[in-house]
Amino acid sequence: MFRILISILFVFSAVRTKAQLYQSAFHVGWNTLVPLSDKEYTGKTSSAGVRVGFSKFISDRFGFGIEGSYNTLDDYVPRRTYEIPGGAITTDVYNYLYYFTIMANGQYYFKQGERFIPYASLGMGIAFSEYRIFYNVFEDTDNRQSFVLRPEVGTLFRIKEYSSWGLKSSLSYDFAANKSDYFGVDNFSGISFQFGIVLFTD
Amino acid sequence: MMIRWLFLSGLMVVIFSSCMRAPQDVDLVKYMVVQTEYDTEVINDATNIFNTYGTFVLRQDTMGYVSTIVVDTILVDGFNFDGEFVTPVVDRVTEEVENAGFLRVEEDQNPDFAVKIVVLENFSFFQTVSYPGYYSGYYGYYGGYYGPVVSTYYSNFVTLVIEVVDIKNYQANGNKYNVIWSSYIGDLGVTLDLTGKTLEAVDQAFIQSPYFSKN
Repeated sequence: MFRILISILFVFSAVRTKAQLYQSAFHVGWNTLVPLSDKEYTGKTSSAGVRVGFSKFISDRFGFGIEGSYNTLDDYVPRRTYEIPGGAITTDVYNYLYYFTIMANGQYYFKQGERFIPYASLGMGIAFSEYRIFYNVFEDTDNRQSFVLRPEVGTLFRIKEYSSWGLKSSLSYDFAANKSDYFGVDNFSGISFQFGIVLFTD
Repeated sequence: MMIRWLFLSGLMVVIFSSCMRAPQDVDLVKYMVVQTEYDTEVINDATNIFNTYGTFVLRQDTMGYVSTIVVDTILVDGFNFDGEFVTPVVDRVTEEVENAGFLRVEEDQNPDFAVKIVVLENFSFFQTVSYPGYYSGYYGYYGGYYGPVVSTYYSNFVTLVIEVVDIKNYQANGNKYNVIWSSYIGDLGVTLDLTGKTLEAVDQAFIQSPYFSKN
């Protein structure tokens, strides 16, 4: 899949491009992540997230880039008793998922040259997931890495017609193949909403 | 241009730092963790050794103490413990065992089992708790009737251990005192209400051990 994406980008980069105002863009933004899976572990929407990325425009319509994202998801399980072989344990538990992704992506821009620049993109990369539970002074941790896929739609918005500053908002879906047998957590999926600042560069 | 990059970098740092979250300490220590274990050879669907017991012994007003920091081997309120902790906890354990149907007697009155209460502080050979739903194993060791306890592996915590030791079947067990029930309560070192939260945890240890009963 990754090879296909690279091939597509390579072909598009060979297409003669129209002159553009800027050749690339750097963005940083706030990310809100709504988990769709394993809600028993972390079911709460997390606004504790950030995305940072760089995009290179290779034509009016196409671009590619890299992006990193980070979210902390958490949930609280009130005090209860768990039966274990030969005994029981009573505690309240704080479940945490530290979710970090780094990926390459390709973008398609529906139109250029205006202040609103809507786009769709597809990203693929690696997700690093740290599952950590806290109970009283005790902690347990499980670290996992896996493939992650992220289709996304969004828009860039230039603050002024020729400004190098802009805004970005997007809606995306994450699927990460990671799972933690230790905590009984399956593949991760979630929907993200991002709002950030864009700096267009030459 | 430099100012723009500095602005973006600063924004990135601010957002990143606000995303690195962990529970607040004050929330974490709201409840103590209470773990109980029993010997499945003598407590199972077919048999319950507690049904064969009638009497127990429990030292009053003192508590065992095993620490890598100080040399004391017992805790006594007003002597080497500043405040009221030992007596209320010993009294509560006594009350719980009596409520389970057993009669407290003196050491020379041939008790069926002993209840030991020990505080472990920074003791490096002790297993604390397992993740709920996950059980990593337990290697019990009992070194003597009043000797310091217990188990495996590591702890930098302060833990209250309550153990029930089978005296009645000492000879039948090859002249060994078997630990048939244990409770681990922690952490005592970080709680905001040591005595209150410990008493609450002691109650919970017996609530989650319904087999700990004469009938």
